[in-house]
Amino acid sequence: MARRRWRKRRRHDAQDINITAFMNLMVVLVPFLLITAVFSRMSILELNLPGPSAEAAEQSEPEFRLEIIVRRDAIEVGERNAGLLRRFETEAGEYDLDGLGDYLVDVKRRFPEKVDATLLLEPDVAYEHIVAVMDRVRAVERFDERSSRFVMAELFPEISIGDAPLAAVN
Amino acid sequence: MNLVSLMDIFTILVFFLLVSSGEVESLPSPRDVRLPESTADTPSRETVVVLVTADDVLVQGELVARVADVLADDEIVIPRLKAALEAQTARMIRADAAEDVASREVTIMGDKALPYRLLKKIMATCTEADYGRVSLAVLQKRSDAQVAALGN
Repeated sequence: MARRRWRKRRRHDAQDINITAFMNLMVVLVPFLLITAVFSRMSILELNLPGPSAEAAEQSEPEFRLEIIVRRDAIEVGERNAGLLRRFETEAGEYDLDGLGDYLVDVKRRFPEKVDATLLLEPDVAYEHIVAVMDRVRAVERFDERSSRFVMAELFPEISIGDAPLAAVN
Repeated sequence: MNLVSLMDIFTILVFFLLVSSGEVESLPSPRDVRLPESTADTPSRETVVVLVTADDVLVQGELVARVADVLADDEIVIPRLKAALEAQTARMIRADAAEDVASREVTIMGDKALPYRLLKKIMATCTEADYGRVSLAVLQKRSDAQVAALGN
């Protein structure tokens, strides 16, 4: 005859508690929260657009005015007075954003106190490409060797938008 | 039947969702517009919303113009959009906010495939309607640097 072992009271308690009420609450709450849960956060990109009453202040001395022209087949980086500096061709339908980012890092290194740039766009450029180019012009993430992690470095956060001049016919 | 493990999962899920739903989205996120992605992390603010889908332009949920009409029109300013924005200004409760052009804000929620000429007309109309600040609504995409910054 096997001896009956007394079960400890603790193990009984787990089965004895009536969890129906708690289950009700969870079964209602969890689906509700899952449905209303936000998985994509929305943020905003602020723009600098001159209002109709703003006066254009002309700079008396010529400054380095960085212009980035986005065309269907290329991205051209230029300066208002000096002209075209660099051209990045579109490969396989995609803009060369990495090349643009690297070049802008160079430009920022030469003119560290400059924080504004002008983005000139052709009429058919898609909105998502505009936002992607704006992202690269505003800031770049670089691998910092000293702290050995990625940091966001600011490039030209004040972006103005305008129309691209007609492409020169070669 | 042993339901302890089920209760554990539900409890943790509820706590996590409660905490994450505490950060409220202040702008309505429409389902028929695909927002472009960006690494911008400025949180969205309570503003007048101009929603631009591939076919329509809506202000605060009301249809204002059709995209086909807007593109066919040669004017840079869209008159019905401007009228709707000015009506929104008139509806503003805080009189000081209505008078201060530089602080009036509008957020443009556009589908990511819109052409620039449509966007240009909309932005020009917003500035013509005396909205000093124009923002673009984007989906936040976490860059590697932001992930690293969060982890530290």
